[in-house]
This record gives sequence, structure tokens and C-alpha cells, in this order.
Amino acid sequence: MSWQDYVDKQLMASRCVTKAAIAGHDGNVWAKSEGFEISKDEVAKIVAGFENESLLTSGGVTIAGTRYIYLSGTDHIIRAKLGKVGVHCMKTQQAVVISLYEEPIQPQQAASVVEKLGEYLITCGY
Amino acid sequence: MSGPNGMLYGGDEIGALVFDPGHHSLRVGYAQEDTPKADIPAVVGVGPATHIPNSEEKVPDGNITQTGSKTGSELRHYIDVTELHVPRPGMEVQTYMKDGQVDNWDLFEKMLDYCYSKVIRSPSEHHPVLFTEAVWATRPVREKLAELIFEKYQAPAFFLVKNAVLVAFANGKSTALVIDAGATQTSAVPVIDGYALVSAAARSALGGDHLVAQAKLMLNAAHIQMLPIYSIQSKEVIRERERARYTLKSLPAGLTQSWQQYMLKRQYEDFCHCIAQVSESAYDERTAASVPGVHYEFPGGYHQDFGPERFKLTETLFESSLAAPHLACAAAAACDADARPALWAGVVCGGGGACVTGWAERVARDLAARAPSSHRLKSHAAASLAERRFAAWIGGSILASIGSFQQMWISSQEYDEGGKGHLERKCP
Repeated sequence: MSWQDYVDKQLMASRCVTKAAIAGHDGNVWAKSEGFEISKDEVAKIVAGFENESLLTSGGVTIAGTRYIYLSGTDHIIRAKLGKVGVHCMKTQQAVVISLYEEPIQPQQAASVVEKLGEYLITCGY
Repeated sequence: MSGPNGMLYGGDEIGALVFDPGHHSLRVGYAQEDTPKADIPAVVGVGPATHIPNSEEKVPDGNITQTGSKTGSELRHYIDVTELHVPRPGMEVQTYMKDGQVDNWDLFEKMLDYCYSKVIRSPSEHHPVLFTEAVWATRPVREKLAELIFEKYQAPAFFLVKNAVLVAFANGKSTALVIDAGATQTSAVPVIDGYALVSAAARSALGGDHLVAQAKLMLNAAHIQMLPIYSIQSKEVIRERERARYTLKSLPAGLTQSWQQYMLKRQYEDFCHCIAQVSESAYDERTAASVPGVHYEFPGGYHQDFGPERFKLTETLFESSLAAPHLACAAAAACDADARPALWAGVVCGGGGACVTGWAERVARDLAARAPSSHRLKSHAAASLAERRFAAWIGGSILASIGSFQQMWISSQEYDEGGKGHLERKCP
């Protein structure tokens, strides 16, 4: 499966996320859903945020130009929100899966889908 | 009707249980109700079984031990007020909570057994269970709890929610700065859209227990004796501030230190409930003296009016840098700047400590003095004291009853398939 397939057929098709992207730790975007303009800088900031939580608590999570409020996370999960839109990111061995979800999708649904894919990628070595 | 994860529920009857474990007590009851069914002290009495021989058994001989008459070699657990408050030789009172979480799982299991058999009176397999947890709850404890509920009690569904989020819900808000005044800790937690911001939460050890300790110091300094109520046989009516005249009961020997301390602590708590009041602004001798005093009678019969001491007692909760208003400011400052206006507009108070007369008003006043003036400040505390005390439980009751929550439960099938990984994902 190509990276675009992962985005379209695994993430978007589940209807538990409204926008998604898979990028490398260096910031290069490997695949993204239509109309999702995430930049290399934004990805790099997210990757840095996995290591250093304080960057996110003060600066929030910026994706496609919108700054979301950081809620919680671990060294491989980031959760953020702004109004009706939520963010769920998961870091894998070589990549990061970034997703946005809107109401009425529940945070737990997006989390399930993103983390299942993330865990699968980790087992594949990605 | 069945939900998306195959869970059966019939119309409005969800029958979920809400457990709210705290350091002072465990609140338990049914969802959709206003208040918990039971408020059980968070301690378990552990002592030898006191055997009562029935008429059929022979009195055992010196060497022969019959089955069923092994006095003193089996341990019984005494739970809840009716069993705990009886003087029993050798019964040690132990708490199962530590740092806001369950620490002693054996005792906690006994508590749950008691809840299911005496409070809920219904098999555990029939009820989904909602548990509250401290904002700083750690993963091993959460996983152990899920394991206990699913594997031992075979609950059909389970969910964990941070108590700060529930206090916000109980006050009708999903974004709030929650100040929870508990027994061992007071904490300020920002909640945004139903998510507790754990990294921004601030807490201090100035809680209800601290107030009780202060009361003890105050009474000792005034040479007022707090006699244990279970030791009084009878007392005489005396005039105010006259020396108490009473006769003592003969108590069985071997009453443990831990039990006596626990009983005394409850008496000091009662004293605080009646007497303690928070002054509207920083303690001032004259204004305090102008407020009418409250009369209190001690177990031995001694009684007096308490005036300014009532305000002095609670002042320690507000004068240090660990006071609730300081915590609230620290918590808000640790948040994203965009979120702060919403937080300051929704400061919510809950917990047992918030029931002290004047506490919520004083917190609001101190916050107004310390909060940045650029933001609108509005604080809320439920009007009824019971609603403040049980705020987290009530929030749980509300959450477990709403329709859109029913798909969010972790069902026992999901737990069997995915195990503990589901917990992190579904109960952030």
C-alpha cells in the first residue's frame, strides 16, 4: 500500500477523522488528505513537541495555519483542540500520523483509528 | 436496542453505577440520580473475628479446636459507619488510599464487595461502572482498576473520568477552572472542552485534614478536652464554660491506637463542620468579633460559644502561598493564552472543603484581587452544600446518563480483545 492509500483507505475511510496526513520525523509530508495544507515546519514542531511537552503547552499545536490548544499527551501521542475541531497525533518509529476530527466524531474514535494505524506501522518498522 | 459495540440497553434504563473514591470517603450510587446512595468512610477496620457461639456448638475444650470456633485467628473486615464505630479490641483502622489513588487493593476489593452487596444489592455483571480518578492518576493504577472491574466483577462496561472534568459538568460547564477542595489535597485544574489539562494542574496539601489538625491544635491550646464520645456513659447539664461532669463507660481492653485516632478525628471534623467559617477578607480581630458566635457542646458536656476563633481557624487555608486562589492563578498561567479568558470566566468550586461557610466567597474575592484584570472573572459554586461536596459524583451521574456517552463505554468485549491499550485510548 502506498502512503496515500494509508491516508485514504485506512484513515479517511474510517470516517473517524476529517483530515489526515502521514509525515516523516524530518518534516517531509509523505501523504495527506485532500485540501489539508500542513507545512514541513508545522510537522517539525510537532515532532519536537513529542520530546519536549513544554513547547506545546505554551505555544499550542499549529496545523495548517490554525493554532490548537494542547490538551494532553505522552512521548508518542499529542491531543489538542480548538472549538469543534480536535487533533490527534501519534509518533511511530520513522513517521508521525496527524489527524483532525470535527464534531460529532468523538475524540476516542479518532484516537482508536490513529493509534491502530500507528501501532501497525511500528510493527512494520515504520 | 443495542449500541454500536453490541451493548444492550433498554431505553432510559442504563443502570450504570458511579464510584467516586476519595481520601475521606467513597461515594457510590446509581447514575441519573441526584446524590450518591452511600458515602462510605475511606477506611477499613481489620480485626479478629469476634466469635459468638450459638446454642448448638459446645464450648471448646483447651486443646480441641472445632471448625467454626477459631476465635482470633481469622481476620474480618469492618466497613462503613455501623461496623466501624463499634469499639472492638484489636481492630486496626487502615486507609486504602494514597495520593488520591487506590493503594491497597485487597482492602479496596473489600470495599467494592461491600458496595455491591449492601449498597447496590445487585450482581455486578448487570451494571456498567463509571469510576472517577484523580487528575494525576498514574497508568498502572488505572490498568489495575480496569482489571479488577472487568475480571473480578465482570462488569459489562467501564469508563474512567478525571474528577475535575466531572465537577465542571456538575456545574453545567465543559470549560472551567476547577478548584477541588478535598480532604488531603486542594487542586486547581483547568478543564477545556471536557479535557483536564494535567500538565497545567496545580495542587497543595492544604485540605480538609489540615483544617482538622488546626482545630485540634486550637482546642489543645485552649485546654478544651475532646473526649472520645464512645467513652462517655452519661454527662450532666452544666453552665457555659464550667468544668464538665461526666461518667465514663467501661470499654473493652485492647482498643487500637489507629481506631481511637480515627474516632477522634471524626469528632474534630464534626467540630469543624459546626464551627469553622471563613472570613470575607483577611482576618481582622474586630470584624471577626462583631459576627455572632456559634455554640458547641463537647462530648463530655462542656460547652461554650466560639467567636473570632472560628475565623482564625480557617485563615491558615488562605494565608500561605499554597492557598486555593494561588493555585488557581498558577494553573491558569500554565495554560495556553488563548484558553485563559474562558477559564477565568468559569471558575468552579467543588469538594468537601468548599462547603465551609464563606469559603467559596473568599476564594472568589481573593481571585478577583489576584487574577489579571484584563479577563472577566466569574466564579461558580453550587448553591446547595451537598451538591458541592458530591460535585464529582454528580458529574459522573450526569455523564453516565447522557445518550451520546453510551457509545464511549469500554465494553467487556473490547477489553477482552484489546486489553489495557483501550484504556489509554478511550479514557484520556
